Amino acid sequence: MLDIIVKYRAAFVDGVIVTLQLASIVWSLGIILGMVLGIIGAKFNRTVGNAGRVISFFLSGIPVIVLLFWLHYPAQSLLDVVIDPFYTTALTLTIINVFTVFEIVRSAISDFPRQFLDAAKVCGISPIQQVLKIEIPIIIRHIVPPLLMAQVVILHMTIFGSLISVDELFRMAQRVNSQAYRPIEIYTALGLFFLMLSLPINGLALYFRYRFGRDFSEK
Amino acid sequence: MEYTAKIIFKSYGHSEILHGVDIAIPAGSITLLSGPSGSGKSTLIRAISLLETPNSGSIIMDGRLLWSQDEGKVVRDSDLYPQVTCVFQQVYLWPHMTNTQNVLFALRAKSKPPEFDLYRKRLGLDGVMSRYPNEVSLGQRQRIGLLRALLLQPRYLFLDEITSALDGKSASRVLCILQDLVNAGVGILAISHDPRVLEWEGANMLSMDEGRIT
Repeated sequence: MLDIIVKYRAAFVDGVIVTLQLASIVWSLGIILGMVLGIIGAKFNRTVGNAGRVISFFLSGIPVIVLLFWLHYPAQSLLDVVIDPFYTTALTLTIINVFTVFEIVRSAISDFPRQFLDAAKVCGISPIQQVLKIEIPIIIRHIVPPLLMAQVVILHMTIFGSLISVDELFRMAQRVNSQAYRPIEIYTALGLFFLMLSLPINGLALYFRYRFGRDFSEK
Repeated sequence: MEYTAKIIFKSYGHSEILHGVDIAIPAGSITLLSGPSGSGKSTLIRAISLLETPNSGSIIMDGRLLWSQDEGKVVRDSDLYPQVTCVFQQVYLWPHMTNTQNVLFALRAKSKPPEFDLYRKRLGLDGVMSRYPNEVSLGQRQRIGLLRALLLQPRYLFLDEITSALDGKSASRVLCILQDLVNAGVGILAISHDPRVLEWEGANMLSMDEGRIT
């Protein structure tokens, strides 16, 4: 397996770079916009919150590949524009990530047990300390594990870009395979690469869940 | 010196929970409140401690108006709490802090005050303070909640079923401490169904039903 990777290392490295570029854009935009939208959605639950939930609901019912193809072909044809498939993939996955993060953040804020703040209030703790020392730390600890898990799923979704000609890692592996025809080694290497990227993130999520994911309900 | 709530009405939506409740909690005494579930006891504590604003009535502490329907809240939270403080049935210790941190944060103290170990021992809380709230039993959490409240040195203490998960020995310890507080001039309102608490000699006994003191 190593000889294949070494021989076609240029192709693999290019694929890794594109995959990481794609993931970085989708992760950063998705997390930032999703968190902002989630906070606004929790604050204005009836308007922004409900609108976001409806969009999340519909998005969760549409396969990613259908959305990607729709944005790549019909949407660009309707708008009479041609967008690089890399950016179409980035846009599609960002939309999905934004609403995934939105739902995680919105529900964590909306479902926050207000009694923790009542307990602080009767101890004479100021409202700003209640927010800084109680509400935000508890919410962050609640949000981080599912947020990290969602980013792993998003990373895996980048391979859909290969279907609209984005030269990410999966497409590069297919190309190498078409020349070398050693699918076992190539796709095993591909799996190991995604495992190498995913495991630290999953590990971090599990660590946060174990270390900080204390049960709100107080068993 | 007493904590008085007059003609307190409280509704949630169209559902009226408290129908003009009058209650007085004299300093240096314990007032025990019992009654069936859903009769409005916990709502009464939340309303008179101003965690929730009543719809009408007035609340006075030691002759000083805290809230009235006409004037609204005329006292700042920082002047009210923790002179008045509560311990809830579910306690609601902050889950991201150890039990010791829960107490110290409430006191806004970096180190333990001298009374910390005294009350910890009296409440039988050896070996649990370095753990997190979800690593101890409900009975232990109730005692930690009480420890937190005691160290705040309140003048009026409102307790909601805080012996519900305690064994006989732990309940006796709590009652002993509450008696000391009463002797020291603290006014206590305690909701309880616990016969061990309701047998308290010299307590003012009140009963509540359908949002009224009966």
